[in-house]
Amino acid sequence: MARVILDSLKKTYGGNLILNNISTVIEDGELVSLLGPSGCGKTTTLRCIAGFEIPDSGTITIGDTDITTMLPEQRDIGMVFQNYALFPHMTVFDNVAFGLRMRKVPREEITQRVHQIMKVVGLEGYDARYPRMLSGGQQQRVAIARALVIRPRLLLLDEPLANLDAKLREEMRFYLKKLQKEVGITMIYVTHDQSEALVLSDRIIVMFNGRIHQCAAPEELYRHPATLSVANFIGLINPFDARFRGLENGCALAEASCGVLCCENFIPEQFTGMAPDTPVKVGIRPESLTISSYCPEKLPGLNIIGGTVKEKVYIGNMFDYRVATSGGEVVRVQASPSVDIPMGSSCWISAASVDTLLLPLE
Amino acid sequence: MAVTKAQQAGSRLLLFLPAALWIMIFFVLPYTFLGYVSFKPTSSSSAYLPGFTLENYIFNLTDSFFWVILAETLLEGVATVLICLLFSYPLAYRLARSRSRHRSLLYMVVISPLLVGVVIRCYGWMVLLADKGLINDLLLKTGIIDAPLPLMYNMFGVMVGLVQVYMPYMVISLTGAIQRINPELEYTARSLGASRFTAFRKITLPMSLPGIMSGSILVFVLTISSYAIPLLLGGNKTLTTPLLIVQTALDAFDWPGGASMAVIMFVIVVTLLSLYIKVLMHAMRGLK
Repeated sequence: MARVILDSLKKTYGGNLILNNISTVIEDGELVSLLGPSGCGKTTTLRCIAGFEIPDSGTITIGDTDITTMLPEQRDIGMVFQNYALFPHMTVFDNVAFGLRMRKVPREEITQRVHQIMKVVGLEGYDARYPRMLSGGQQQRVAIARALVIRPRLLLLDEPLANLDAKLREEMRFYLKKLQKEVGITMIYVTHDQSEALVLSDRIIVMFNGRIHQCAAPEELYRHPATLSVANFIGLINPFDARFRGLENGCALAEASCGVLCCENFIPEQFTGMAPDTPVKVGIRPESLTISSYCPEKLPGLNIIGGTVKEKVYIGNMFDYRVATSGGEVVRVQASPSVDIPMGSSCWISAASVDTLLLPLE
Repeated sequence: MAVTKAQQAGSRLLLFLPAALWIMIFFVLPYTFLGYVSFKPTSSSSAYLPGFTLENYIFNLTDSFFWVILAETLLEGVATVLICLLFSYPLAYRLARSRSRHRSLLYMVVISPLLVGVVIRCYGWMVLLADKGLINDLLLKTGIIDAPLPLMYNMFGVMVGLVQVYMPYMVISLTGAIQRINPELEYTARSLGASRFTAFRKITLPMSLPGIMSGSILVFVLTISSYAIPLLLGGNKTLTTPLLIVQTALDAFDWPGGASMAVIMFVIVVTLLSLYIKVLMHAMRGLK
């Protein structure tokens, strides 16, 4: 069983808190992404798991073993780097065989296992080549084969696709996911590319400034982001400053400068017991907003805000509007091209309360 | 206006010209003259006599004294290279991997000996190593030894000087090579089960071969042609080929004899170095 448990990891560099209480559980056979902007601590977390860094406090366990202070070579963890890190002075075969030789596996078994894994990554017959003779995608697959052939308990990947061109990157995403299901290995995948994380992951851990903001399945993360940073990082969000007014039949009321908004999309634990008048954020995604030149009928469960069209860009499948609301915010609206409202004219934008997010201040 | 191919080639040649002229005048011409002189009969009244002779070569090549001195000189070169390599590698590794903001300062410290002339540094060593020098003085006064240790005017003194003077070249070559090695390669090796030492032996060491090669060739060539250091720190006790050549040409006034020694040494060294490069190139065949 390769269940990975990170418990309250802390790490500081020269007075800067890089990891601030990182705790999470990664189940056996899961593919989990660590997602966040550069400097958020995702790579440091990975390096702690791999053993290249030791956390100041907290523990890391794989299965039943506490590996927090174990040497990297004793951890049985495969690692794939962004720039492949193939040994340039060794052939493809020697690269892949390296880990097996370190483990003193008999010669015939090495040959057999190397060839078997090369078949899995689709690189049979490349044994005698040197890494520099391979394309970027092929090098990346050799790096993956080299990490997998030792049958590690866990595979760590640090931005493995970042150096590939866009088309190949897309192909490799699906390939990696397929490979992971085939091999059935637990994978932790570091990336700053949200679409990569969404395509690949069973679950995504979103990190900012050394903290975990949310850990959830891709769809859940997009639909019910826990913080404004998460909502902003995965997709687009229009934020409104507001004050909490209370809960009413599953609807949270928040007063923004453009009026009271009814929010049905929120995580209840974050708001139960919250005192009225506490500052909060309301968020609405541009694609959840509807724009019209007349005021829509005031139905329950619909938030309506008045405004003026400030900017309008045609991007083929939709219009991208910037609307200045009556409350003073500039809101982005993505609407179907059938609705064409001229620049400078007044308009109404509306969103269903189920699509209106209530978020705590960070 | 179109630039013709001939014009392009012409401007490219122009770029070569200063260096080419310099090398012609100060390197190729003297060497050619050296080769020319080495085939001339010896004279006691002029540098050489007209005519052609193989006598100088036959004399030197059959002279076991010359061979012993040459072998000792080359061995001294090898020893200096090995000691420099041993001392420089850990330092170069730290320097290459250091992320400290004092790194350029460290680099300056390593290079700083080059700012002082060789002769001056040799005199510095003499002050330290002489029978009545600082080290012996200190050891005698503290009663650790009864008689001064022979630290100078022997092979030990010469080696101390050679290693100290030529080590910066080794450090610079190695640092450059190690810096070009991605540290993630070592991390990868560790994650695949290699200990710190095995990762070094299998990855970093073979990948730093280009630096080892350039550093060792530099130090070797500088050592075996070194004149001031064996002269000042070795006294008359350690004879090396450069000293022998100068003695033959200047003291014995045998220019053709000295010239032929220089040519023989040149040919042997070039042969040995090309063999060395060939072996290392084979070991580095995977590297770009």
